Amino acid sequence: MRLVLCDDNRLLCEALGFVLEAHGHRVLAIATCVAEGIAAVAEHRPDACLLDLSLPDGSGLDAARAMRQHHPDTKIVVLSCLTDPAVVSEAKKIGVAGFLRKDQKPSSIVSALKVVDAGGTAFDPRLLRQRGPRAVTQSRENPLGALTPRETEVLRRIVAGQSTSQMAREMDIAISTLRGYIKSILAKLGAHSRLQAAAIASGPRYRSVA
Amino acid sequence: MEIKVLIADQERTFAEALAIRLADEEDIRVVGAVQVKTPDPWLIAANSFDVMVVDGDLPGGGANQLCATASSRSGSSRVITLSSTSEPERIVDAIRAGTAAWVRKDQTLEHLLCVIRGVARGETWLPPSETGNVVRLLMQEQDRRRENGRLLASLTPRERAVLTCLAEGTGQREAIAERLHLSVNTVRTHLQNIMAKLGVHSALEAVALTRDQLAAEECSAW
Repeated sequence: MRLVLCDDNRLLCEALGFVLEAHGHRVLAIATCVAEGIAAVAEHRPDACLLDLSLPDGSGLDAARAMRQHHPDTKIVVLSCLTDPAVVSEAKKIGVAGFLRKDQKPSSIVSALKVVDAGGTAFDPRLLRQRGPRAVTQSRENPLGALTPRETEVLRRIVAGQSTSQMAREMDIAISTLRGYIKSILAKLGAHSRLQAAAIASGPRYRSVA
Repeated sequence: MEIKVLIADQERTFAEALAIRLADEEDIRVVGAVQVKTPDPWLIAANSFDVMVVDGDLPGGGANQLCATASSRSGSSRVITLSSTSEPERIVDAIRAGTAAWVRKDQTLEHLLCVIRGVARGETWLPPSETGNVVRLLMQEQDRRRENGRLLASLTPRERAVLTCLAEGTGQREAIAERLHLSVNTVRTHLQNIMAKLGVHSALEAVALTRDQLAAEECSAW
């Protein structure tokens, strides 16, 4: 197949391109963002575009939508580490020919492209089987992972030794809002004080035995 | 000279495709391409390699842990950190863990090959656009460390022990008193002296100021 590869990891594009060419495909262009990807598909009219979803200038889903609209002959195969069922079904709705995960061996991508080339679709079966997200088990393994971005920001400032008024001023939020964040951080980390939260955040060396 | 390369990345597709591509070079032998989610010290122990290419975007600073394990090993194992970004603060952390190179994932393979060969010869590679910032950060850090070291040295052994309790998250005077077999009043005096000597207003600030230094001195004491 004549291919365009689109992923912000250029090293992946070049290495995977090498594997695909060894299996008789031709890589016409490598793109590393949405804009380049759309331009490359418009210029080369490839048989297929291997498309990442997390690109620096936007979502690969938007790129897929634009490609489907303007170049319906180009088949789109998503290659992503995202496995959110909502994303998979959105991609299906757009009309991609395949959705592959980045945790499989390169040869299964070769096989999937063979299926797509023959007019079939290639969706990683594990993506269709999975149910809800597993946020709960994840947070148990790593309590820091359960924090929202805003809470992480507050925790970072606690570790840096900032006072309540200093944080409120620099983050431009009310002290009562800040106290809410701190309460939530302590609860999620299972800490009794800011000092203890700072110790947990600073890593195992300072994690108290108790 | 043949360069033995170990690849560790959170994406299996990337690790294995890169392995296939690198193996095509005459002077490179790939000894392993492993999908890693969390740092596994056995990965380092079980493989003999000259250069490890590690995913710098592993969650929780996992790459730096792998890096530290690899560089503490005897011999001349070198590490290249790959990442989708290149903030100088992250590069400095990686350098401290012992990385020999930082390569952005949006670089070309040609560049990565250059770095692998360079690092195997003992060279260090950083993104040229960030080198100035990285050096500046390292210098600032050194100044700060010297200053903090001076502050820390001004504490008595007892005051240091109290400070270590704080750093470990034990903040209540009663709890510190019990741990160190002191009276609550004595702990209060120590706390006041610590804050006065360090010129800070809270226990949290005292810990923030001295955490790195305490950790470093503990390490070198072993």
